[in-house]
Amino acid sequence: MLDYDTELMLRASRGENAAFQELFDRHYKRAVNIAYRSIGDSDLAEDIAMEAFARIYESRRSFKPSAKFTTYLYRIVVNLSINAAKRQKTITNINLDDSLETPASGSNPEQTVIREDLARKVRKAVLSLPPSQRIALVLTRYEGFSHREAAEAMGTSVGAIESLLHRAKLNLYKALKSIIESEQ
Amino acid sequence: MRCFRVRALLSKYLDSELGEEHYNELREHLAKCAACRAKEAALRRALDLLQEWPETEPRLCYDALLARLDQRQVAREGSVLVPKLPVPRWATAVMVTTSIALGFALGIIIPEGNTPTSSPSEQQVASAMDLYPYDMIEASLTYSITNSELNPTREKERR
Repeated sequence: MLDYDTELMLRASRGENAAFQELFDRHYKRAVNIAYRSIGDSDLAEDIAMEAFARIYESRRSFKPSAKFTTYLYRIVVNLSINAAKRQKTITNINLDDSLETPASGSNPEQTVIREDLARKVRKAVLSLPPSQRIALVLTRYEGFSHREAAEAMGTSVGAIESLLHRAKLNLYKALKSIIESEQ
Repeated sequence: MRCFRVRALLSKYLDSELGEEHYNELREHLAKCAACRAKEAALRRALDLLQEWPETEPRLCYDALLARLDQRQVAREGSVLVPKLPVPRWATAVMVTTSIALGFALGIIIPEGNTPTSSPSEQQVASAMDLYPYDMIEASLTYSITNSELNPTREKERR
């Protein structure tokens, strides 16, 4: 039995534009955030998500429900993000103030400053990881993908994902070591 | 289970991807080994800290996608009007060589006399610049003064 998104995509492939719009509304934000945390730039992330939907729309007539729609979508987003991350040779030079949207933490300005500073450090630590490790971590820890789902999205084996995640966690710990040790 | 084995499995354990058998063995080890317990706690804290980086709120909507699709359609139609013909490499090389040779040949055949060498008269310049007679006199005076200051010997010869 097909899942709801794949059914929508089949309807879109038959020319039902409202079905495609519903797919867009359901998954656009998630696609943007996968790209955002993979490359650290919100404008580029929107561009990547838009590009992924545009490509799917343009090839909608040849869509075959052999895989879930979400696997199809996230694979395109991940590929575009990996390419963008590789193009960003000096990712550490990204302006870390760029569109950092920290949720309001009550009315205490001091707490807000501390929270924003922590968010910046975490962002910097994530972006310091090699692109493949970073994307594997983003998919599993931010988007809740299982190892198998992350492997499908990244077009690799479960074993390769496990290896990437193992190294990603060790590197993340190294990057955040000073914060963790200061808490103890 | 030994420490090195536990460290290798910690990543899967933290992602809740460890099979039941290994999970139980690893839990038993952690209960006994303080060093591995500390390692597990440190990695878990690093992963918890990830939630401090908030998600971003998209600014664009479905209309932006439609606009992008329209733009691509227009670009595609534009590129159809000027179809690219497949030109083999050797043909490009022949064309480049021929045009260089032709350039040289034309340079030899056509005499230099065809290019204008004499400078225009003051009157021609004045009419081209749309100057009044008064401006012409002033310009002429300025020119002769500047010229005589710069080239006194040539000025003497002229006199």
